Amino acid sequence: MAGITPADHHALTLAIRWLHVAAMAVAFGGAFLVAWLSWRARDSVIETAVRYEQVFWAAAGVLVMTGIGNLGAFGASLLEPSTGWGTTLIAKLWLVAALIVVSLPRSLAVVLTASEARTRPVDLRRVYTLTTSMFAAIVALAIVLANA
Amino acid sequence: MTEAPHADGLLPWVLGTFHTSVFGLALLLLLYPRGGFGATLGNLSTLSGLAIFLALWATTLFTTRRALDGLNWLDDDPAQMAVFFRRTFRWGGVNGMLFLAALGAILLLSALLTAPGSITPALIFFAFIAAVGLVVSYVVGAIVGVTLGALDIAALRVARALTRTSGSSSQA
Repeated sequence: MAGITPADHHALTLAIRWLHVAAMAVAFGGAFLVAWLSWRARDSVIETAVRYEQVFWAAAGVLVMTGIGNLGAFGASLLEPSTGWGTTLIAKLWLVAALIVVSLPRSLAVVLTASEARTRPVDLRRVYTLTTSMFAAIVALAIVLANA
Repeated sequence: MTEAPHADGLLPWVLGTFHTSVFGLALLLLLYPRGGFGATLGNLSTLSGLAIFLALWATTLFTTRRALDGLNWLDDDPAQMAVFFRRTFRWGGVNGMLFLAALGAILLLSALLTAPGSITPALIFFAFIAAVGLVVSYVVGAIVGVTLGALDIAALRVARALTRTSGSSSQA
């Protein structure tokens, strides 16, 4: 906005990238932690899972917001979808969309398990291993994009 | 079982952020493959872009909370779901209007700060979107709201299947 110099813009771009990477680290690291805990001690993990779901959705919102911000920082130099980089980006976006879509029933199942005594606990091992695997694939694509 | 604190209170946060994220990703997946997306985004300042996304997130959280207000949504009771579905139309429409108003305010503020001389065209644009855009945004918001509400209910059915007891399984 007013009076933003190229140096300010560069600092803002760096801040957005930092936030993007930090949010991914929190979401991926948290999913790995809950998956690891659930393989070790399944019954006592539900509270940690509820806390993770709270953090996961904050990270998801920040990731989408800063992801769009990262693309905006490229401006007119953003590579077109017909390039190899563009194809990888589209694959990453679809994978992120798939992760968001499968995360909603996971979060709801965790909330149901935590709030209703009569329900069968959701298989935390299965759902968090799937979440961690999807995050690992997204991070792999992000590294390909960053190194291209 | 140990009850995790605030599990029910998590619901508007989860659904509201899900709606915002899906909407943002859907726009990206629709616009980027068409080409020229970088130039489109380049016309918008980074701060304005962040402010617009935050505004969408805030209005969606507010309207999702209102749509869930007083409902035992997790019970998946057909009567409650019918009420919820009607509310997704109404509050989706309200969300569309609130977001458009926020969008107009952000763009107006941006125009004021970056080029004070351009305030007159910005005001004309603001008056135009206030008059015509609010009606259109209500309809678009309602359609998006109903679509996302259907996704919410589908996700709840999957979640209930993942946590179904043997007793409730035999009733299904």
